[in-house]
Amino acid sequence: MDITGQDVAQSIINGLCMGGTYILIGLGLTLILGIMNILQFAHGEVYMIGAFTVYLLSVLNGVNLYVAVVISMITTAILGLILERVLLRPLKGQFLSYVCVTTGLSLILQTTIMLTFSKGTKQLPSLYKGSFEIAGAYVSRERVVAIVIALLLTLILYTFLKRTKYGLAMTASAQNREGALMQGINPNLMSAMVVAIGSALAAVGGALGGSIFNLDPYMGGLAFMKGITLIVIGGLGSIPGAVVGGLLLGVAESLLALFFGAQMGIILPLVLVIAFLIFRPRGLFGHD
Amino acid sequence: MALLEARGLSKRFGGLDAVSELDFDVNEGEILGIIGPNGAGKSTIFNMICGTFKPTSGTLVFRDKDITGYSSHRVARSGIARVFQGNVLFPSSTVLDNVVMGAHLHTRLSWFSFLFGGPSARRRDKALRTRAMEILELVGLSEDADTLASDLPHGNQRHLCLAVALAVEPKLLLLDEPVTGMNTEEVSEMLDLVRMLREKTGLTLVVIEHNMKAVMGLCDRIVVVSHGRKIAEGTSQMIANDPAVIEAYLGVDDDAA
Amino acid sequence: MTEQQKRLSKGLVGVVIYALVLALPWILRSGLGVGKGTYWTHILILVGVMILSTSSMRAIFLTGEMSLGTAGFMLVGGYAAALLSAKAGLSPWLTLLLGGLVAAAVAGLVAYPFFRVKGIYFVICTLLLGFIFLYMAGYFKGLTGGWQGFQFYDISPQITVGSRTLKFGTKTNIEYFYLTVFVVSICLFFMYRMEHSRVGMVWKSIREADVLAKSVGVNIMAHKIFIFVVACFFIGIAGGLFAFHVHALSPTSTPANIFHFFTSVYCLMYMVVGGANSFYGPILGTSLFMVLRELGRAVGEYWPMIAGAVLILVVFFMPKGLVATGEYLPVWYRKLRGLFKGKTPSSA
Repeated sequence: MDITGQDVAQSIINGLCMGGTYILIGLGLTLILGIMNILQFAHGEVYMIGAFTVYLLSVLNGVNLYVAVVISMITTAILGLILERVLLRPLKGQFLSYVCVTTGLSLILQTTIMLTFSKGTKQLPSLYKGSFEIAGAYVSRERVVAIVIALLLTLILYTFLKRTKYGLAMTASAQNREGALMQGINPNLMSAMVVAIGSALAAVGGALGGSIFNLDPYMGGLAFMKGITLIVIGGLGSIPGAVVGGLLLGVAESLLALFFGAQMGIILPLVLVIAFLIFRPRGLFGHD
Repeated sequence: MALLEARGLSKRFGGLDAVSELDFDVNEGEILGIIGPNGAGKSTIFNMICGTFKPTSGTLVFRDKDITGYSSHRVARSGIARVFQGNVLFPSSTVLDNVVMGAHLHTRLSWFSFLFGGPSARRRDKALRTRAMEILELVGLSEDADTLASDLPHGNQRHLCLAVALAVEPKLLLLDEPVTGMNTEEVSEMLDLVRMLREKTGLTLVVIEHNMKAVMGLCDRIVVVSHGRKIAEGTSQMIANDPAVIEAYLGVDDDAA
Repeated sequence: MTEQQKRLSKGLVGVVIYALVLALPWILRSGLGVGKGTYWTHILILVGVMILSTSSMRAIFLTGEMSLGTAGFMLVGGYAAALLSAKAGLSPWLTLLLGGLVAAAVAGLVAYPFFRVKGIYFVICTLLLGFIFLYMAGYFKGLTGGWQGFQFYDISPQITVGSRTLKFGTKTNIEYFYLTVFVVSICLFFMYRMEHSRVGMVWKSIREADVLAKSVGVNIMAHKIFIFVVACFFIGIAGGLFAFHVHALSPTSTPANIFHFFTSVYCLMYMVVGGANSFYGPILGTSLFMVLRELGRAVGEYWPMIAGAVLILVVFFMPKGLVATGEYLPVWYRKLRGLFKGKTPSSA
């Protein structure tokens, strides 16, 4: 079977679009890990809930798709706030406890969604029908919209972190917690904000992912893996890193799948992650 | 031949030279003090000797062996032990167990005996405990052998840290701010203990301290560092009258602890 | 009570419990309202396998590192054992051991680079490794039968004396149960001895204050690698035991999708809920959870949710785990009494 240049181009573009979804998951994960030093194992489920919320609103109740996404962002952010306040804050830095609590939560969320919604495949409606033609490859419009939205949100987040008072405070907390404390920055507020923002972004990611793939209560696990892959490659706590990592991951998966089959597309990036962790733990753009 | 020889020792962090071109000797049986204003690089020196950091350049030769860049456990194996700043202990183990764990290098982890706990293992265990008790007596903690380390009062914890380091049976002992945070009574108690140790065991010691009186009274020789460089070296009298030293400490209280 | 008497009574309790365990298949024959006859024996075998895995996971935890690669190493051990028997015709007794060795070898390969990175990254590495193993098993169709897997119904450990053959893996599964108990007991014995020897104290020192441990000469990396390799050896054996029981392996092996990384999470849960600080914690946690799950078949689909909730509750209210219930009861009793008397509980 010959692989044409067109196939490659198509593959790259598809990969970029998938990358957009990954970026949205990765941003939340990298911020939470960078600022709170917690690996939020339930983040994939937050992504999944975002997707299902949009499904609930738009498909089952006829709400306008974009409005549904916004509502989903808000409710997921609230979920994140509750998670932080009730489950994470009281634990005061005990590593084993964080892992247990967040994995327990992920199990609860998966089961809840599975029981709430009927079986059978579900998919979110397309954002845009039809496709463009770029460089001889056909790209569905919705995928382009997906990546545009992802990059836009990333830009907004970046601006927030570098230009606003709270954003700068968050960056400071990520780099030096004690220093930030001494400057009067409230660590609890920082934690709450970062989980809320991260969750909201994951919700959008879920909405985008849900329109490309089928919705399923267990989609969070895979999403979580992608998120981890991306933040390791891109670098912990780094936004540019998350973007580059996400795009790289998407394209790499796509191309590898084209040349070596879908399985390798999944395995090889993981091997890459491990290689990064060993040889360049701070990733492409990270500090530390 | 000095016990420990540092030549051209340097450590650079990013753009900052924490320690530059440091040369000094530690002679067998002496108590050497390293003093200097805050941020002078004293802890970095210890960290380089003990393997926490690798020197950027320079060499460390201990008993004719080049130990530059050795990792912490190899340094311990070579015969150098360290008492850390603050009280670093094994908190949920007893005082006795802490010292026994300090004697790690003198336990032989043999397979058979740990699996089946035979009489030879029990004998070795007993010997370890006896030796640990001896060390505890030396530092005056034999009464507290079964207390949890975290339950000890601050001053006694310091003594325990010393006991743990002694269990290594080192030839060279590094004391990192041994009397910081102590009142006058505790300070003189600790100094007496250190002096007694040196007499009894012939141990060589290097001490980092801020407490001037303590250092002057205890150390045979003193090395003064400032901004990562050696600015003076000699007996306490020579140091006290050295203009460079006085200038480095200008504005700093004599009894800064 | 003297030291001697205490040890004797502890030993006696141990013997009684062990005898009970051995008698379990007969006790449970009546079914306890759920399942009958051989069904419970099958469950008990699985419990045994998971106890071995969970206890091994805990051994790694004793040096302060957390591995979530348990499922992955079970896969390696199970597949290695089954393939070596099915394709190379080796005796299952041998391949059970070899499966463990292969798992240990893989662990040895990745241990040094993995331990060089910070704690949380180590967790991620082990998690990803498990994932990679899973996908590799699905990828190499020629060798492993891919995602469909392969079966080997004729292959079971067996002992032939003269003209009589005892096959481990008959319809009743009772001999396989005893085989499992035997193998698991030996492995647990090794782990127990290690933990309660000088080696165990070294692990404790690494766990409590690794900087201090280093400075008294402990080679932390060597010790971590050692126990990681040993633990993965045992986990590989657990995988082999599983394989020769179910006679069919695939990356999505039933029951309960055992090679999926959820299993590693469940092992973590069993360990924490049982009591991560105690040798018996994983044993208690695993048995309790798995048995309860079977008894509660009625709740079926709700199970992961209940498990997750229990995990969270235990972390918050009983961090030392169920093993320490004895310590928690008096505290709770006092609090309850205080509530009823309308005052805040005072220190009794």
